[in-house]
Amino acid sequence: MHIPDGWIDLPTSASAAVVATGAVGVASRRAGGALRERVTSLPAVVAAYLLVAQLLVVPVGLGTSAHLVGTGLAALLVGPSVALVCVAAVVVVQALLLADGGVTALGLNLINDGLAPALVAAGLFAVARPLLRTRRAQAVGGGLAAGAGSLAAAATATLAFVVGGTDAVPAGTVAASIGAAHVVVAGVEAVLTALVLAAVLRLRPDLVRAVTGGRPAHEPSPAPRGEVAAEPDRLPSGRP
Amino acid sequence: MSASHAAGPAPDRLRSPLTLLAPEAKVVGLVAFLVAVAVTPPTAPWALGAQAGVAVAVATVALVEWRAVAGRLALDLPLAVLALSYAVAGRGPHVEVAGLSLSLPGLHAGLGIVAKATIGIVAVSALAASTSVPDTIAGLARVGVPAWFRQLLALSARQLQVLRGDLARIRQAVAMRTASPRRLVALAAGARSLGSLFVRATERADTLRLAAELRGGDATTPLAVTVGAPARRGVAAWMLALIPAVGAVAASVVLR
Repeated sequence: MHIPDGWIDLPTSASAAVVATGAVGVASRRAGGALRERVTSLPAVVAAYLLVAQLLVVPVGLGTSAHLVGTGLAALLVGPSVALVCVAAVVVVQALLLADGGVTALGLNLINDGLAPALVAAGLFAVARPLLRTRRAQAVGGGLAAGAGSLAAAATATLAFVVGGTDAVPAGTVAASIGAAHVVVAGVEAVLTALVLAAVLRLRPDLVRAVTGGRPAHEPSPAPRGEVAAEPDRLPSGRP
Repeated sequence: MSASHAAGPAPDRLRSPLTLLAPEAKVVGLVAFLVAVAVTPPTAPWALGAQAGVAVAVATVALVEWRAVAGRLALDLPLAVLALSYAVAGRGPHVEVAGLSLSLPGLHAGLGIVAKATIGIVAVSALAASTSVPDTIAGLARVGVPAWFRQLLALSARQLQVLRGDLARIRQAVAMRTASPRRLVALAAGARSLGSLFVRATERADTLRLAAELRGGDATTPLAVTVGAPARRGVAAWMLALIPAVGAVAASVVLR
């Protein structure tokens, strides 16, 4: 969820900003190859991709709608370090350039929408990877990992509320309502991530870093482009 | 984002009195204002009202498009539900409102959250309306944001425009091939569009990298970010930019 200005008190927001800045610093160092040695086009493209992916809105009833947050997806596609840096760009672009608000909650949103889901999704998928042999299994597994990442985001949002929210409402009630809402959100995240992942795995499986295992996703691939590339596994040699 | 977010001064851009203010002063003034709003207790509704007035006044001076602001305020709708749940589920003492027994602290907290989120969106809209993306990024440079992150922001903003157009084209193509009134089918088609968008976007990232390498650039080569009009700097600019924050603090002290 996107935490707005004013939901969490200032000391908690400020400490979250310090933690988040440190995490992005570490992530940028770990992602060094993709960020500093080359022109920073891949993280920028992924950040823009996450912003665009949020336009795919799913009505979930009661007049509200959910959308793909995409952090879990990004963590599976480009690895958790690059994903966290991308989410940092996303929240700053949203807050300052697209004027969606949440300037004082930037650090909270970075932990909530970036750090927690990226680590959980990438970690779970890495553990389960030996079991996922077919592309379908990898897509479904990736979806479930992203859904779990979304639940982790709910947990950190609840934690933020317990530490720095208002005391006018019992924390248990708020935790229950955040949890209930995030069961729906996590379901949407899991289904959409699985569908997107399935499409990418069909077109360019070499681009999914969680599956290829650490090989940089931005290396130019020998895979052919266009419609021929859509079914490379049907060709005997993998290329036309 | 509008076309005015391309690098360089755009001739179609409206010039407001705030356009020429140094962008770093505007960013710092915005953060100071929002911090002042954040520390205002929700039990002081008049202070929050006065701060909302300050935000609306600044946004009016900045010539924001109120229709766009209204669209962003749709983000507040789930918050209104949250505020209502606070009022219903909050602790006592309770008050009677239209036949419902609502918690007074819960009501205060809920209204405070909606008010602060709304003020935040209006205030940020004032910055966005009066500052082009290159100007904002140049301003961030002067408040210590590292170069690699500014490059990332600049490229993300540019790629966002490109990918938006791409996605619209891909979705139209997919929709025409898999036209179905069923929502689930449409959703799956949308997700498939996103999948091929990622492939296209990554291939474009490869092309960009290759082009930069061919021109002899690497990540240490700074991006050429052209700054538009010469900005007003100096003590006067900073004092001007901090007026909303001072107003917010004054409101929070006087109207508590």
